[in-house]
Amino acid sequence: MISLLSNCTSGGCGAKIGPGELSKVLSRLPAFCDPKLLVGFDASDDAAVYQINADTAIVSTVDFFSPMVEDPRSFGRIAAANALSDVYAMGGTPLFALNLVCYPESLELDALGEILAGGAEKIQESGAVLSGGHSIYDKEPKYGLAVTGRLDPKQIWRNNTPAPGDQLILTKPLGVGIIMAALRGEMADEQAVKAAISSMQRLNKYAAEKMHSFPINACTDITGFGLLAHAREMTGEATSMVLYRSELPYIQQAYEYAGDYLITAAGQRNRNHMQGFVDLGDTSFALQELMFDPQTSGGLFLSAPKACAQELLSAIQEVEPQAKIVGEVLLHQNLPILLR
Amino acid sequence: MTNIDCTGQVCPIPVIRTKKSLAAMGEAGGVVTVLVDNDISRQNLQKMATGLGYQSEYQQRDNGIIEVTIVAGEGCAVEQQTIAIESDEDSGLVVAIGRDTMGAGDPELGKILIKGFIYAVKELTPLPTHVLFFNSGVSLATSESNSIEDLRELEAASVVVLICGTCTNYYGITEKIGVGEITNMYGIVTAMASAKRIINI
Repeated sequence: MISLLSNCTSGGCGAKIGPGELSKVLSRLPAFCDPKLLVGFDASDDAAVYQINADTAIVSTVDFFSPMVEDPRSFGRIAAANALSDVYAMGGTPLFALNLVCYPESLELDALGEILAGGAEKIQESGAVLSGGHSIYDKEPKYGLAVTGRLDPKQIWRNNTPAPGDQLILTKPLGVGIIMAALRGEMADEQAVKAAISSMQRLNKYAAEKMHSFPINACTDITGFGLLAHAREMTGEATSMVLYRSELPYIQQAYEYAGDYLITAAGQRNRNHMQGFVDLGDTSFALQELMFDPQTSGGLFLSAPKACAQELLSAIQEVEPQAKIVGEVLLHQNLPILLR
Repeated sequence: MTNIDCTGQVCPIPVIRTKKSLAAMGEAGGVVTVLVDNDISRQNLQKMATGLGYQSEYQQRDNGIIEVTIVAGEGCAVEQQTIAIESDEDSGLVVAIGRDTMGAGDPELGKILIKGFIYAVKELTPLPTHVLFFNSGVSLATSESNSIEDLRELEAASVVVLICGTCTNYYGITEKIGVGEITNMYGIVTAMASAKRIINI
């Protein structure tokens, strides 16, 4: 068995460039203006949306990272589920995907075959087709997809358009970043790792399908920036939100590991980034870490009118049993994120 | 003194290695210095140190290397746990004694009163969770103190007796302390902060 992890300095979405650092660089790029580009990177949304005609838009996204698990097939599944997720988070349906591969010359090719097979499984499950790809040698293995989907331009789920009075739903439990950190430190128990891998491999397709029968005001997926950064992004300029601390779903062992300081660099970067945007008050250290925890292939985080939130939650819970109503949207307050 | 080189390692590895070294020192405590090559690791180490009640500081070295020093005082982490467990279901009363006499007036009378006070505390039901000694109060906890037997009885009845280490050093009586545990300001503040009621002398 080759060791995928030992070739990597950091894996999964935890390896993302910090949100603060990233926006500094992006702000220097020229602004592109094309009325057909309905969603571009200026709104830091999950994927780009480009209008083709009155009824059709294409949604396009790319995502790749280095392994956070030892098993190559699981890694392939997780990377593909993560890349496909951005299409679901916009309200789209994936059409086709391209493989992106970086792989060390020194590693066995069998493992690469397993990674690609894992990815292909998830592309099949999504209903999209694999249509090509690109591969290069690199010191660290990396894998992901460029995905193109279709979308009704009148029903885009943007990430920053919630309405005051909405309730917020999170579809997957938090804590996969902390559990993968514990795994790296050889301190994670098998059950916890299983729960985390199963969560990361699960497509957001099923939750999104349930959502299509309801009015959705905003939606994003939780990534390496962690719940709080995504929540803040969602509030935009016009609203604030209150999160219910006691309602946040998380993988049980992740809470214990966080309390034992099995913490990640990305979690600390997220914490620094959120300074001044949230008052943590007397929140326990472990729960703080969970709210900052970088999620790989995290759940959908969505905002829907209160009148239908409970019914929507019940529908989502048929496919994501740990989904919860985790907060609500308020008129703009002194802080974007409040905790209750 | 333990040195750990965590350059080239990413979190949580530096934190895990440091935590293991600190744990290996046991109640005696000690000093751990850790070398890391990025500021986020430094922040995570200090977050852990603060959370466990250790003091820490850092120095920027050449080539982007940061040296983090963590000082584990005697029984710091252990005390913390005791506090957490005990504050759940007990009196929540903390007695803080910052002087060796009681009340303003003749010091001789003050000394008689403080002895009587500590004796009376021992008779309380339920007992306080903690008795804290700082500044000249620490002299009451030396083996020469005429309150030492009362304090030992309190300790035997699971009352946590905490003595300010800075103060015993200042007065040069660290060797003479005959009861309780030496702690730092963090231990004192934690005990006060977890109290439901405090008696200040």
